[in-house]
Amino acid sequence: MLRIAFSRLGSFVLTLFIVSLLIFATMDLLPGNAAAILLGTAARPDTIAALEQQLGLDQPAYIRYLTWIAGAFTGDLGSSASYGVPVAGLIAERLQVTLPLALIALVIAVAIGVGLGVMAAARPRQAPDRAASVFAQVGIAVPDFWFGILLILLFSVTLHWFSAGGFPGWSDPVAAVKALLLPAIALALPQAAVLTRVTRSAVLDVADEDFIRTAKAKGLTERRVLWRHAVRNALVPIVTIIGLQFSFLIAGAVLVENVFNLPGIGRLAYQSLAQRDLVVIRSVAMFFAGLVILVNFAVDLAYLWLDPRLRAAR
Amino acid sequence: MTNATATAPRFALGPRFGLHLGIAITALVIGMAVLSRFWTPQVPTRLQIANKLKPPLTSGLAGTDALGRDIFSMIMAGAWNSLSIAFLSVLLGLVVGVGFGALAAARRGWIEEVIMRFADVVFAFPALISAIMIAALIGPGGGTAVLAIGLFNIPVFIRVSRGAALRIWALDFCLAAQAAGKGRFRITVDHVLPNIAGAVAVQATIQIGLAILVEAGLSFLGLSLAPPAPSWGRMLSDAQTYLAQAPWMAIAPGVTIAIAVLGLNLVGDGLRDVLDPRSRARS
Repeated sequence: MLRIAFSRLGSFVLTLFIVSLLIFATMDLLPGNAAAILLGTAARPDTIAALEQQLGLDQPAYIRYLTWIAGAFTGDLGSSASYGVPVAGLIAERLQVTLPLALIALVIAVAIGVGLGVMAAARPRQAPDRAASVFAQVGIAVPDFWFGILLILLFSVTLHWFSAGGFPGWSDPVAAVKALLLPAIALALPQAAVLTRVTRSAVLDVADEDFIRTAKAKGLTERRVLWRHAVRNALVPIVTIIGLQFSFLIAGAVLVENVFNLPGIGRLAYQSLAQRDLVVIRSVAMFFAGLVILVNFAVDLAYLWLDPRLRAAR
Repeated sequence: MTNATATAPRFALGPRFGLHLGIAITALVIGMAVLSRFWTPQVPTRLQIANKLKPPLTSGLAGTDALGRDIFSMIMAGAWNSLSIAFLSVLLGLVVGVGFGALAAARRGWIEEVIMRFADVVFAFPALISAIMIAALIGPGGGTAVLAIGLFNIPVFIRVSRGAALRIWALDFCLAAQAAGKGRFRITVDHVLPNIAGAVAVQATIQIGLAILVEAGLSFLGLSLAPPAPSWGRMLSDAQTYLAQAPWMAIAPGVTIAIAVLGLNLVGDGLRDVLDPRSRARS
């Protein structure tokens, strides 16, 4: 068990390393450099040189790479050229919006998706199952950011229950959660739809297994068989999909934050692009990619915990 | 749980209803896209400020936007742009991905290890994030969108084609071909690729649907085709400014995206059921 966990850890670190090299190569070495891009075509060569020195661009590439990576551990990722503040602080500040947003969305998606999926699997081919599968098909096809616009149209423009966007900060937690609720629902819709489908088929897959028959035979209620035995054993595919879908959750967050004007990391990525702030973009890209890799690593470890059979294998 | 199915009333719509509905929707969307190359009710880029913000049916089928452009015509022309970017990006991902996937299955060993690690690495980049990185280098545009969505599709096709190819390689006729002295490349071309084509086609259909969603997101952020080329995503971004005065601007493009994606997903699911009857027993 421990050996498998360590080998997963090894490939996790290796993937992180290659991804960081790739991001560094595209953002730092390819045509143009951060200083020239930032200052535009009209800049004088000595102005560019001065900014290059300020950004450390006159150093050799490997030194710049090592400085960047070392900075990821010490919390010094350089300074944003357009905001004039340290990148690490900028990311940490924006994380206070993106992380709760993603977590609330994930909770909503799991509650709806697993709930509907189990309900559908309990009565296959009957009305609730058909309704769940229509929800799943439509939910996957509807763009999350458009759903967000529709929510604004209904709850902000028409009913005036919520503000149309913006974030009041965490000094008033109730207002903060309220500001994150509509965006989280928008972000959760496609995830809930995917989870509904996966949960349904995962629960149906285990429904024919012997241990389910045994559980029924010993007189457990259907509800208990369903939740304690079937769902518990269907968790592996469900957790896998949560991991695989994480990359879509992040892409969705970038869009939804822009729809709702939330000062999160996704909006930061978009704003830095408009400002041509490569120093910020490279760290934000690394942050997002690292997060996807980390979540998939966590999913790998979760398998070992959820399914004892995998611990013995290999 | 399963014995209930025998007696329960079924809401049956025929075994291939989803597939047929999907084909009808997809044909309609493609037809609309192709038609827009020859004819649209109005010129989709023509500004008629005097005719701005007209509700649906008072001017054109879907009304006009803030610059007086005919929304229905923009949706038709946008279908062409959206579909071609989605198709090209999936084609890019398919060609590269199936190439590497088939190679991984044919060679195994360290080559397979490297290819799968590469797939993990590329998979770590959500399409929107690579689009932002690419746009930072070469600017936004159709090429940026195709590249970003295509990159994201590569690991998907590597995994699908490798998995399917490994199952084919384990079959007797592949062993026989090897015993007969056929090379791994020839076996891949003659036996493996034709046999994984179905699985790849199913995946491609679903990925085109997904690519339409991603492209809409990219053009919502202004990372895809530059204006004035009509695009569903940018129409939604324009609509957000006029949400209170002209809500119809936000409805039509979103509904169109959802219907187009729904159609492709129904085709993908239906094809999977036809090609793999075992999956139908469950769905």
